[in-house]
Order: sequence, then C-alpha cells, then structure tokens
Amino acid sequence: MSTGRPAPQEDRRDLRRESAEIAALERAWERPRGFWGWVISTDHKEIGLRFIGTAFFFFALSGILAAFMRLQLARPENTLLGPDRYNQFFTMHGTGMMFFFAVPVMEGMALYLVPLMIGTRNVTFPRLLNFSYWTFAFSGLIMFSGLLLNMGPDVGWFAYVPLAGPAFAPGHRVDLWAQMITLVEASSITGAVEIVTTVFKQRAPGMTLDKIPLFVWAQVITSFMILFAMPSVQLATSLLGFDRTTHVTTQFFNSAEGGDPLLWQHLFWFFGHPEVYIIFLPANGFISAMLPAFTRRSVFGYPALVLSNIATGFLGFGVWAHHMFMTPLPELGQGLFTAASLMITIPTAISIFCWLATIATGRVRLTIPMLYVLSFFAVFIIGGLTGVMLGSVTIDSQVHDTFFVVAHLHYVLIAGAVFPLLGAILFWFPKWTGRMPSHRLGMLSFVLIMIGFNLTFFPMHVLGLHGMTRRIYTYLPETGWGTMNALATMGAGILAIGFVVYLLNLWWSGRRGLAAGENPWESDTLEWATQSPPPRFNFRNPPTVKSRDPVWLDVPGTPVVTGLSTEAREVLVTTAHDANPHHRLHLAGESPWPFITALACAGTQIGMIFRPHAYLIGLPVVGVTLAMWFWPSHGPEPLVAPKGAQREAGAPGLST
Amino acid sequence: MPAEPTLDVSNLPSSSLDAETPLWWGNVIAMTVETTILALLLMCYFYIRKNFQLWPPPYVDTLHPVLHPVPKLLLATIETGVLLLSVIPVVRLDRMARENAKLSPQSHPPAERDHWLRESEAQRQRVEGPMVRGLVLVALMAAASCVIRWFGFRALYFDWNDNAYASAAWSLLVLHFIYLLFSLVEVALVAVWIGRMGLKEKLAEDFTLVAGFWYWTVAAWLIIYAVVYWSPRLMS
Repeated sequence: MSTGRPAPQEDRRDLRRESAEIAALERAWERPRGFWGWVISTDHKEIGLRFIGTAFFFFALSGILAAFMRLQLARPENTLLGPDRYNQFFTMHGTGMMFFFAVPVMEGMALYLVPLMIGTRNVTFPRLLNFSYWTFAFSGLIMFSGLLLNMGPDVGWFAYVPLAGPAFAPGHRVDLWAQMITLVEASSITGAVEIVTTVFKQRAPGMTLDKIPLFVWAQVITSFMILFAMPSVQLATSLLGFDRTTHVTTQFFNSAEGGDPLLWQHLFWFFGHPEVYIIFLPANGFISAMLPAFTRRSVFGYPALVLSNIATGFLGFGVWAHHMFMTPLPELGQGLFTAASLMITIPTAISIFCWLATIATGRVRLTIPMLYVLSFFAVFIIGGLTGVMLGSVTIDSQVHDTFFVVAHLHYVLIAGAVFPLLGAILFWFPKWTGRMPSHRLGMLSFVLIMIGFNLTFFPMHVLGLHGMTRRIYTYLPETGWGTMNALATMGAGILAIGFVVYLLNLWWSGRRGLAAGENPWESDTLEWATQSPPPRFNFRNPPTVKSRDPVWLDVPGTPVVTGLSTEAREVLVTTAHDANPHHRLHLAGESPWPFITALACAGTQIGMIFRPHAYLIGLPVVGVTLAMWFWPSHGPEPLVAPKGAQREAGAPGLST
Repeated sequence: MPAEPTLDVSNLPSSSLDAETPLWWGNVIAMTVETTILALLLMCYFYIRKNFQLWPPPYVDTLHPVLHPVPKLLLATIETGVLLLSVIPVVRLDRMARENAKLSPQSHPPAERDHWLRESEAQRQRVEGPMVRGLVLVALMAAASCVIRWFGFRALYFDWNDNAYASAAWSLLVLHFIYLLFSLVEVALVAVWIGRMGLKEKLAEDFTLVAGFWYWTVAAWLIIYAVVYWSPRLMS
C-alpha cells in the first residue's frame, strides 16, 4: 500500500502510460463481437439494461391485456371478450406484471447499478448473470406465447387449487403456468445470489457496512428476501405440476386423498406477500438514491432507514396469512397475522418520515424524477391506508375479492414501486446513455400518468364497496356500476397515452438529448464518478471510499486502487464487514454454456408441461451443460502478481 | 491532471479460502436456498398429517393389509451408515485440499519465493495420487448410497400417488436423491479434473466447496431419515 505523487515533469509519461492502460483494459474487458457475443455477454451493465428492457416489453404486453380488460368492463353486458378469454387475460396480466415485470425490472436496476455504486468492475459470477437473463427471457416468452396457442393460463395469478388442480383445469394451461413460474424464479434467485455476494465481497476499500449506499442496502435486503421467498413458490409450482402430470399425479392438494388445498395457499402466500416487499424495497432504494441529488443534502436518518428496511424484510415473512382471512384459520392465528400486518406499517412510516425530513430540510429541485418521488408520497399513502383497513379481519371479510382489493393493490404497487421506478429510469438515463431526458416530454407524461392512474383506480375503491367482485368479465346494467367503470376505462386510456409519451421521451432523448457528462444531477454515489455511459471496466482505477457521500465529500484526495491486472478481468475482493482489501479475483469470461444451460432448463420445463419423462432426459442434459460450464480449461494459475503476464481474459476453449 | 494518491493491491494474493472468497458465499447461499426448499417440504409433510387419523394411513391394497405401515428401516439405515462413513474420507480430502490451496507467494521474500514455489509444487504432486484415490472412494460410496436408495423406495409400501402421505414421503426421498446424484457428479468431476490437470490451487479451492456441499447433503439426509423413518414410529 503506497501513496505517492509523481513530480510534474513526469506528467507526459504518465498520460502515455494512462492511455496504454486504458487500451489494455478495453481489450481485457471487451466481449466477443457480433450477435453471438451479444448472446453470451457477461457485462453487468449490458445484462442489467437487457433485464430492464425485456421486463418493460412484458410490462407492455401485460398492460395491453389490462387495456382489453378495461374496454370489456367499460359498459355493462359488453361482448368484446368472452369469459374464457377474459380469464386468460386477467391471469396473464397479473402473472406478467408480478413475475415477468416487477421482480426482473428491479433486479435489472440492481444488476446495473450495484457494482457501480460499490466501486467494482463486474458482478462476482458473470456467467451466472448470463444464465439468469436467459432463463428470464425464455420463461417470459414461452409464458406469453401460451396466449397465442390458446394455452393461456386462466386460473388467476395465484392459481388456487382445486380450481388449478387436475380435476377442474384440464388441458395444459395451468401446466404451462406452473412450469414457467418455476423457471423464472430460478432467474430471480440467481440474480439475488449475484447481488448478495458482490455486495459482501467486492465493495470499494473503506466502504464499511455503515457506508453502503441506501440503494444498495435496499437491494441486498431484497435479495435476501428473494432467497427465502422464491423457493416457496418454486416448490409450490413444482408440487402443482406433479399433482397435474400424467404418470405422476401426486396428491399434495387433493383433499380426497389426504392432500390439502390450503397447503397451496400457505406455500403461495409465504412467497406472495414477501414478493410485495421484494418489489417495494428496491423502490425505497430509488427514493433514497434520488433524494440527495434533488434536496442537496444526504438522506436524513441513515441508520433508521437501513434498520427499517431490515425490519420490513423480516416482518414481510410474518404476514402471509392475511391473504387467507377467509379460510378457516384458527382465531389466534388471525389475530397474530392482523397484528403483524399492522406492525409492518411502522418501519414503512419510519422510512417515509426520514424522507420527509430530508425534503423539509433540503433545498428541493423540482425535476421530473423528483416529481415522481413526491407523487409516491401522495399516492402510495392512500394505498398504504387501504392496506391498514384490509389488514383487519373484520373489514377484509366485507371487501374480500372485490374491486376494493384491486384498487388497493394497484395503489400500493404502482405508486409504491412503479412511480419511483419511472423516476429512477429518468434519473439514471443520463448514466446509461450519456444524454439527458427531455423535461417537457417528461412533464407531459408525468401529468398524463398521474391523471390516468388516479382516474383508473380510484373509482375501483367505490366499485368494490358497492359490491363489484373482481375477475368477473361483465355485469348487469341494474348494478349501477356502469358510470364508475366507464370512468376507469377512460383513465386507463389516459394512462396508456402517458406511458407512450414516456417511452417516446426515452427514444427521442436517447438520440437528441443534451450531453449529460459524468454527473448531471450532481449526485453523491460512486456511479456518478465515472463516464456516462461507463466503460466496460467501469472505473480505470476503482475508487476507495471514506464517507457515505463519496462523490461530494471524498473526491479528490481519496486514494484510488492500482495494481489490478490490466491484461485480465480482475477485481479486488474485500472483507465482508470492513471492506479491507483481501485478494485479487480473476473473473470468468464469456462462455456459451450458461446460455446453453438456460436453453436446456427451458427445454426441460417445456417438456414437463406435457410429460414427466422430460425430467429424466432434461436433468442429465442440464447436468452435462453445467459440467461444461464449470470445466476448468484455463492454463496454470499465475502464482505471482500478474503485471505483464500474458493471459487471456476469458477461458480459452470455452469462450468463442 | 493532478496525480491521485493510490492504494496498490498488486502484492495481494490471487486466491483465498472459505468466507474470504465470493465462491464460498455463492456455495453457502445455494445451500441456504436448498435448505429453505427442504424445510418447506418438511413443513408440507407435517401439514398434511393433520388430515389423517392414522399416520401413515393403513396399507390396504393387498391381500395382507398393514394397519401401521411405517417405512422399513433396514436399507435406509445401511444408507445412513454409508453416508456417515463417507464423511471421514471427505474430511481428510478437505484437509489435504486446504493445505495445498493456501498459496501466497507474496508472503515470502522474493529471494526465497522460487524455492518455496518449487517445494509446494512438489508437495502438491505428492498428494495428487492420494487425493484422486480418495475422491474415487467417496464417489463409490455416493454411488452405493444411490443404489441403496433406489431399492429403498420400496420400503415405503405405497406408490407416490396413493395418497398425500406417500406423495410427501416420496418427494423428500426423491429430492434428496437428486442432491445425492449432484454431489456424486461433483466429486467425480473433481477427481477427473485433478487426475487430468493436477492439483491446481483453484481445484483445491473448488474441492473445499464440494466438501461443504457433501456435509450438507449428509446432514440433510439425517433429518430426512429421522422424519420419514422414525417420526411415524415415535410420534404416532
């Protein structure tokens, strides 16, 4: 560890060495060119953006389904969609939004931003990253293609048995759903593994646990939740698949043979409620990351925010049965879950008050991302309050399965997660593209989305209280629900236009936007300390950190890391707690095998829709692809410092 | 451009062991996920139990009905013995791998470094043979317990789709069977790799992880063995 300043006359030589160093780093980190190189890429920024883009593609598809549902409900006795198609549409809308948009888009944001924010060059397991993306893309595409094949799942996004069991849902619609959910959760879990290991082992020297950016904390807690919640739904969908598959036909959920339909609900909601926080906590992180830039101060109450996020992570696992108040739960259990559901508002309230204090004591700049943050406070709190109402058994029994619940969940999820996300995308857009988003288009889409959203979903509260149940494809004129439904459909139209303008903004600004520079919002975390867009190796010299706001308080004068190989893809591993430098790690390079493994997994799951024998063939095939993936084929490990050592960046023989 | 102060890391080692390495974290997280799945499946087993007056339910599809068809112990107990015994060679191999994975030439003065490297290289060549033989032994033990398991499924009386009890018990055994196959393949692959490429420090590090997963697999079996074979006897 040496610190030294070269004398001024050495400047020119330094510059030459610097550009040679950058050229070497570019060679080491460049992925293979062309389409195949794109397929097997292991760059966290490229894969992260791809996650976000693909998730928004599924968001658009699910949104179009929602638009059709709104058109169908716009007036009584409408005949645009029949009951069967309506069932498929609402199931795929929910499935698409929850499994193929909300979780992956948040993971995509994490995969892009976390390595930059903690000052490292890539995630720990670059090939696993590639696998994670392709399992996500395959499962989503296969799931949505079901709609075209008249195989769209039609039992609701939580697929309750016995409706989803073999007796009441013949055909392969539910099999498609079950197998693809199993597959997409493999993607979520591997993504979470990346985040946790990268954050605990690759932080910039000096970034002790109490200096980790709040966004990164939120993503780490989310990832831990994913690790414990997603296995539950994977197990549930696997068991459902086994119950339904010919030749296997296990009896887990069949009450005639001692199985239990409520077991499904327990397994599903043990995943399903933490899922809400898996979507909500990253959005918390966005807010904590954006506020410093737009209030010109660091966020108030860092320890309180971190601890309340952790508390939410734990409590999130103790509230699942509030989705089951209408089932014969023991009364004590109902009381317990009511209490836990009400208790979880406490950490959320603490977070909100910390942010409000930040805003109150800062100098607020009303940019578009900041407007989304402010709208979060206004609109999310409405959803939070109806959540408190629903958390109580007595109210829940009255409005269970009505549009009141639909209104509540959209207020919570859209205002709690999508609004911060829309702000966050505009906030980091300059980092991704090097160009600023348009303020005018941004304002137009913001206004349209706010009006559209509230017009769509607020009337649903009233509809629910008037007794309109969810998941009905039409209703009679005498119910008097027509006006409210017509209003909601108009709102949906405005909302859709708002999203189109939002996309238009991204498209136009990506081409014509003003040049952004490194740190256009003058924000405080490390992703703003490198170029926009960042080079493949992220930082020429990875930074070290002394404070929570490194860009504001540390630079210049804080040492940068030198001595990592410029010839190979090397990152610095630091200790989990104190982030002291520990050793240098040679990351794996591109390989076709993660992609082929994802392909084999998808093939196995497709086979499982039809025949259980697919596992007998699929598991060995997946085993072989995994063995090839991990086959060690690079030459002898360097035993001394690799300066000038001639080594390939990837693993020759595996990378193309 | 003013020169920045630097933190030179070129003298740090290029590998490490256990909690210091990201791979160890990845391995532990994978085991955590599998533990969660296993715990939930055990929860299913006990959740379903409340639906049965007799547990396991009487086995009546036969000329000689069995009122209390608890799974037969013999094969499963032999398998438990094999798996417990296998821990001994795995611990020894684990230790050997650790001794040969700790390479940090940087900790030696440059003058002695070459000598030290030659020494440790020779040492590693000496343990290669015993290492591969040990791995083959472990793989054989794993294969043996796979074979025993295959026949042991019959000890359950029921087919997997006879009732929910049978589904849960079979699922526990099959899930663990997959872990066992996975461990077997892992051990066999490491044996092949060391045989072909020598005991490189990376392979030694890899084996410490394989050993970790092996301990986990054995521990998971002890729990499943207790639940599937003993809990119906002791808690009926």
